[in-house]
This record gives sequence, structure tokens and C-alpha cells, in this order.
Amino acid sequence: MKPAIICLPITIPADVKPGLALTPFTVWTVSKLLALSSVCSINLTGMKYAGMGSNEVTGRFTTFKKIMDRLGMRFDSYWLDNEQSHVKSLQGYCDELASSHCLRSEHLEILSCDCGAVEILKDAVSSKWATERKLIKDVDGQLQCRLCHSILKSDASQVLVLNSGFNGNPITAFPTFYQKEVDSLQAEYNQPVLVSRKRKLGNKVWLFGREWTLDTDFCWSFLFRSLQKAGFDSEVVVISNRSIKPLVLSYGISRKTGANIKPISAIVTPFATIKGGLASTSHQITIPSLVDRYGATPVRFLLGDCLKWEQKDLVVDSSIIFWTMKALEKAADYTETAAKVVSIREALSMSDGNSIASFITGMRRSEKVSLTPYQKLLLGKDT
Amino acid sequence: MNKRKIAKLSAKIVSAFGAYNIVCILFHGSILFNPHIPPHDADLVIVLKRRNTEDCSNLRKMVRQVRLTELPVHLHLIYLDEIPENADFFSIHTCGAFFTCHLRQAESLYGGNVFDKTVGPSEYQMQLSLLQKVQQYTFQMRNLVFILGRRTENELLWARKKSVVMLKDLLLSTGILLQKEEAIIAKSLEVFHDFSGDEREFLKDLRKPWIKPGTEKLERVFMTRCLQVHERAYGIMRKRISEKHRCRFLG
Repeated sequence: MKPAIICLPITIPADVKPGLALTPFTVWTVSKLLALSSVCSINLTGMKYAGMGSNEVTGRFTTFKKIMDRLGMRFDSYWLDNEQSHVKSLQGYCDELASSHCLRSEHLEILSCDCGAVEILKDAVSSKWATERKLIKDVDGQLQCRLCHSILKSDASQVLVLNSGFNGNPITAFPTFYQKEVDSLQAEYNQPVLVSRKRKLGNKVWLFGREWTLDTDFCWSFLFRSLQKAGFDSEVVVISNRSIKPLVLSYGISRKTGANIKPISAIVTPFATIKGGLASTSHQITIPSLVDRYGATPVRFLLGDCLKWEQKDLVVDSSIIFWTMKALEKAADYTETAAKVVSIREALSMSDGNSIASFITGMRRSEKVSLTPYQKLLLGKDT
Repeated sequence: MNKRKIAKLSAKIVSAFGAYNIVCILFHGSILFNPHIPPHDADLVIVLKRRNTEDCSNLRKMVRQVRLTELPVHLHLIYLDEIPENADFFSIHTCGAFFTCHLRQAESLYGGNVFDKTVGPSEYQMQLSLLQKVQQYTFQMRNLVFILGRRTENELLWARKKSVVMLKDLLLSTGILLQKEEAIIAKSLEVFHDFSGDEREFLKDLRKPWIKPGTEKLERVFMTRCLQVHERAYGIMRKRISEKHRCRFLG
């Protein structure tokens, strides 16, 4: 088994913006600093890809991988939620959950919309842990789907539900101020979760004498189990602070399959928004357009600047790219420090975005610049 | 010549020069981005680690052997030690610092695109190099309109292509790097409001399949319109430069 740092599956949009690259960037840097295998997980199924052909979906992944390569961020492996080995294992995972009575078939009231994006247990609609809540809006007392704007219809049918109950799973959060949120979410996750879908499209399993179409998020939630099968022991997971809930669900479900899934450390990245400020990027800022314009190194500095660990949400000025270019105009004499990183705490301290500005100033002022292992990664001297 | 043949040539180059000696082989230009338009040449960039006096002639022989004779191969042979880390100092032929951005969008046939590892160019060098390119095209276009007699189809196609390239350079000066002609024309019409109604109509017509003007008079009209687009784009460029970089123009 290879000890690994991973991320939850990333859904790839048409335009890859810097905020999206922050999670893989952290996976890449911390994997290098702690000598862990790196796995970048990708979500290629579900409603976000509705209407797209399989070639187009594969193209999204190819484009994303190319962007990561251009940034110098090469992972030991990519995990795709539509990989045949994973899809074929779903039946086995569900059998395990059913035999331990974690999965059961029940006749329950569900609320659903016309487009299929919302399908939720009626009893769960007001609970704050329901992952679909962000897709629902209340208009004059009527619940509507935010995507298709149809009013949710109530319907009693036979569905597949998962007993949650994730309290006490061993997740250690970094920065530590997220621990309370992780613990309380795990404690609250103790109600039935709807995991079957009415729609025909999706992965299918045979349980309780009939066929079921599974929810996409449920399918990738076996991530930790699937990676274990592939030979990776997930020791660290990187998530954005908007993804704590999916982590609790995914880690909890993977552990319920009965496999020996080890305790995990979760690195929670801030949610960063990039503000303009560059003379020639008055238009949409995407990673490819930034690399085309400035090259990979200034873009890595921009991503590094976003990792101000003490903040939950922050706005980063893209002019850091300009200052990076100014600093790199001078051919400094680089030496290496003997600094070794042995813990997540040290890795986060070394990669703190607040130190980027002083690093740039140091490069501009000094002839000789001593580089930490992290700074070497930023400068592309280790890729 | 198509992408498949180019890939075949690239494989030949790798096997002849040795993978250890090749940093990357990049494919760019109209065959890649605008395959529906009759191409003038096939653009290849080969970056080698080591110099050998026979490199150019060996490459020429290889191009012949693969029988890529329908179109000239526009080859840029670059050695790794010629590529500055700072893109401000890079140029190829008459293309200055801005060309690094263009090459970063090339398709890599072998190796990782080495230009992603360079930094910049700075805003100043970007604008300066684009201005120089726009000036070059405008003067060439004026000269072409000035010449008497009938135009060859190649000259007409050149004028058409450069009218769009002018827009592409203009967009790049605002931070938008596009390669597909359709997208370049559409974005330019959206971003730059200085084009007159006639010029806008002419630019929209450029998106239609190429038909050679039938008479000398129509050829003249076509060339004059291309020149109008050049002049307008050059004017917009000067306006931007004088606003942003404190450069004054006489008159």
C-alpha cells in the first residue's frame, strides 16, 4: 500500500479558474513536501455533464490534465469516477452495505423536480446536512429547483436509503479551527440518506430483488475504498472549505463497507476569489489564459498566495503575478535550505500564502536567495 | 498536408535526432487552428538541446522523405540555450516578445511545451512587440494596394489572413488570446467599437468560405477593404498605446 494524499472528485467546468486549481495545487505541493503519493480524483458523471457526449466529457478531463501538466503539477495517479474498475465494484460495495443493514429498501415520500437535479427525502428537506439544499429555493412557501425552476412534487415510492451515523469517524482537520465543524457535521449525520434515483441514467445495482439507479454522489463516495483497492492508503485528503459535508459523507460511507479504512487528516483550503488588477487580463481569468500570458511560474505564485491558512474566505489580488515577474526579471543565485518537512503542520506553515509577498521582496532585493523545498516547487525547480 | 502528416514528420524527427536531444516539437498556425482555411504553410517549432551544424540540412532531408511537399514547412529551429527565462528577450523572425504567448498555445507533438517554463513577457514588451507587428502588417498592406496590376490569389489570401491577424494582435494587446478566425472576428466586433458599419460588414463577410473576387475591380475593392481594416486596427492600437504607455504620436 502506498501512503497517499488525495482530493475529493473535482467536477471539471468548461473554464478552469484559479479557485478550482487550489485543491490539486495543495495535493501536489504537500505530496512533494511529505513524500506521499498524489492522487487527483475527478468526477466525470452526473448532472453537471448533462447533454454532453462521452467524447466531450473525456475531452474535459484531457484538457484538465493538460492544464495541470502545464502548471508543472504532475500526479502519481488520477482517479476517475467513471473508471470501469470502480463502476464494476459498486455492486459489491452495495452488497456489503446491505448485508450490514446500512442500506435498505423503504417506501417513502420523496420530493423531486422536473430536470432530475433534485430528488430528496421529504423528511430531510429542512435538515441542514441535506447536500441538495443548495439546489432548492423557497418561493412563497413553495419549494423550487434552482436549475429548472419547477415546483418540487411529492411522490411516495420504493427507494434505497442509507443509514448514515458517521459520528466519531477519525478525521483530523487542518487548520485546526475546522475541527469543530467536522465533528459537529459527523454528529449530525445520523438520518437516512436517499441514494437511489428515479431517472434511468446512471450506475445500476441489483438489490432486494430489483434494479436501482444510484445517485452519482453516492457512487463516488466509495472513493477511499476504491483507492484502497487500487493500492493507495489515503492518509491525507485536501478539500475546499465548501466540501466538508461531502468529505464526511464519502469517508463515512467508505468506512461502512467494512474495509479497514485508516484515520485521515483533512487539509481544508480557503475559498479564494481572484480580483483583477492585471493590465491585460480585464476579461475572464482562467488558468489556461494566465499560463498562456505569463507562463506557469507566476501562476503557481498566484495559487500559493491564495493559501492563507488562517482565513476561510479571501480575495486575492492578481497583481501578485506582476510582482512575481518583477522579481524573476533578476537572475538571482539560488541555494537550498536544509529544511525538512515531516508533518502536515510544518507543510502548511511553510506554504502559508502570507509568506509569498516577503519571498518576492527577498528575491528582488538579494543576490543570493535561499529556497525552502516549497519555494523550489513554486519556482519550478523541482518539477 | 494535415495534422496526421505533421505528426508523422514529428515522429521521424524524434527518431532521427534522438529523444534525449529533443526538448519539444510544437505545431502551431492555421492548419492547427483554422483547418477550413487554405493554408500558406505548416508551422513547426523544434527545440533541441544540442547544436550540430548538420541539423538544418538533416531536417530538410526528412521533410523531403516524408513527402510533405504540397506546402512549405515553416520551420523554426531553436536551441534550448537560446530561450531566455524572461520572455521579454525572446523573438522569432519579425515576431517579438508577444510570440511566446502564441507559442504557449501550440500543440505539443513531442515533449512538454518549453515556453510554459518561461516568464512573461512584461506588459510593456508585450504592447511594444504587438505595435511593431501591427505596423509591419499595415505597411505591407499599403504597399500591396499601391502596386498596379492584377493580384494573385495568394496575395488576396494573404491580405484576408492578415486582416484577421491584425484583429488577433489587437485582442492580445487587451489580454485576449484567441486562435480561431470565427472567434477572433466575433470578439473583435464585440470589444472594439471603432469599426465603421462597412468595416463590420466586411469583417462578417470574412467568416464566409473564401471565393476569389472575379474581376480586377473587385480585387481592388477587396484589397482596399482589407487595408481599411488594417488602418482601423492600427489606429485603435495607437490609441491604446498612447493612453496606457504615455507614448505620443505626431499629428
